[in-house]
Amino acid sequence: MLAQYAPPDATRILGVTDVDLSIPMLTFLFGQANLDGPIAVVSLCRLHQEFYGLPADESLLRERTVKEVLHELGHTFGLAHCSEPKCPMSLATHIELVDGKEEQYCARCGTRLVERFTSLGGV
Amino acid sequence: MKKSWVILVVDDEDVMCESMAAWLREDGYQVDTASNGQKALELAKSTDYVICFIDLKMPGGMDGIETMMEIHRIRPEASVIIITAYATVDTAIQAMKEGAQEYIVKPCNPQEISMLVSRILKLKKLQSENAILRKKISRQYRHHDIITKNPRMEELLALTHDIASLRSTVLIRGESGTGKELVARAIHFSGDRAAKPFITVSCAALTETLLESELFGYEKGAFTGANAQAKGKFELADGGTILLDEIGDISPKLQADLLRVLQERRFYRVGGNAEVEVDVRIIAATNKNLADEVKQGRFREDLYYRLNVIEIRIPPLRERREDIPLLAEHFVQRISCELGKDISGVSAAALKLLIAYDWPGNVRELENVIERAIVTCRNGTLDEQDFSWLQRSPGASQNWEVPDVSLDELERKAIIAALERKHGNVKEASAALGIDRSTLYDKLKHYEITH
Repeated sequence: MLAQYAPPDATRILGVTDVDLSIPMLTFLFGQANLDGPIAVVSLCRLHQEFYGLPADESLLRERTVKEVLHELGHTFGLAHCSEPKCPMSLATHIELVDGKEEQYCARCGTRLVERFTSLGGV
Repeated sequence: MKKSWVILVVDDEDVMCESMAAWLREDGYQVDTASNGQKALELAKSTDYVICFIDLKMPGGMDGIETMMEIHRIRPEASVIIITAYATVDTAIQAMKEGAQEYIVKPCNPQEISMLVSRILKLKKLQSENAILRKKISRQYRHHDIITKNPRMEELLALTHDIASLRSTVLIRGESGTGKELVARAIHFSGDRAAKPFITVSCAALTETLLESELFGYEKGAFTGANAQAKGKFELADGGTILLDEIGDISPKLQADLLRVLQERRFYRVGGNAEVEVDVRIIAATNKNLADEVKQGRFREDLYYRLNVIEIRIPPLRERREDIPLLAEHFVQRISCELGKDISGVSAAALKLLIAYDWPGNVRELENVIERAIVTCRNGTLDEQDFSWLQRSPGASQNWEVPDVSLDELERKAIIAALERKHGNVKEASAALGIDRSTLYDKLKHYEITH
């Protein structure tokens, strides 16, 4: 559905929503992407501090969103989960794990991403 | 690494299948999907799946349990995880009874699935590693790895084969270096205990109390430093074989304890009051003559008879000299390969020398001698010169009788003999005596020897 909103010269489109996402198999998701495909989505619902009964924190929300966007976009460029917990590509199944990530890909994932960009003809 | 594991998801609902597969793919696994049991079986015939997620309720023909049983028939190694929509204890129990590794209730927590998958894969990795190691070990200790063409040894090997699957205690006698442990391993690895542990305990290496806790284990607080309960070697060897090496060296108290284990296959841990029961085959080895030890009162007679149910005596290498060329050839090949040196074999002259030598250290000494020769060898074949140091071995001089004279007189005679052998050459004589040339001159002066 997202695909139709994409401008014609775009190679990837990422949707951001406030709705809590789930897939039939799982109770919730922070986001989902086509592995090596054009579409990704990130839900802010569980990134809000309020979701956990804590006072709102704008800057923390922004940080978490950046990390999850990096994560899902990484998937659209063919990256799988990373075993380095600080890398945005690591698997986060609860919010503390998201907060443990940094806003920059680890060396291995970064290199792979560059390789992908180059093979795609430089995006 | 992860790519080598392939996972199969079987569910009649496409969205389920795809969402599960997408999640697992994001985690880096290769995933196939099937919409019914029939298709799942088709796929399983050509792909070796490590894990299969199977929906319990599928319409038409095969349900989840049937699919699982069929998949197990094709891929007995695959782990099956049953997916169910309703958590009922009955279905879960049924699934587990029929051989499912786990079951999950959908929709489930993402963390749960990731942990489940990584836990199963960890186990698979250990299992395959273990299988490889087991194969390696059993290959190492099969019968034909004991190299011999000596009729007595061949008889001995036939005996070890016959007794391999019995539980009777075996007593292996032989000089040090004859291969007592190798024979014990051959017995273990060709019997039906091969898949179970083989544990060796060297009884001579430890003091009485240490050996006691080593063999029987101990309870927490049994002595200073016993911070936790520990299993002894007898417990670790449960179902398998324990080799008690140097059995002739154990103390009278341990002899009594051991007698009890042999009689009842039960014992107490050190500081414990609960009996532990084990199923262990005991092989004892010694280089002493236990019958003599019994006569001299150093070894319990009843223990001796308990151990000596089947006796195997390994002949020393000097009594099976025909095996020396075979063994030498074998060691040359193995060791030169290990050391990365290109050595083709042993020359005829060198072989003659090896056959003539007495080998007080038996096969182990032969192995070491070959290794040393290979290390120092400068051409492609081991020559007489490569073993020249062997001639001066104590083996040849064992029967030499010391004349009843003073030490001074002895030294004087040795110097004269050396000079005579070397035709008066002081340099060579001093080298043969293992002393400096100037020292020899001093001694010549001291003993007033003219040359």
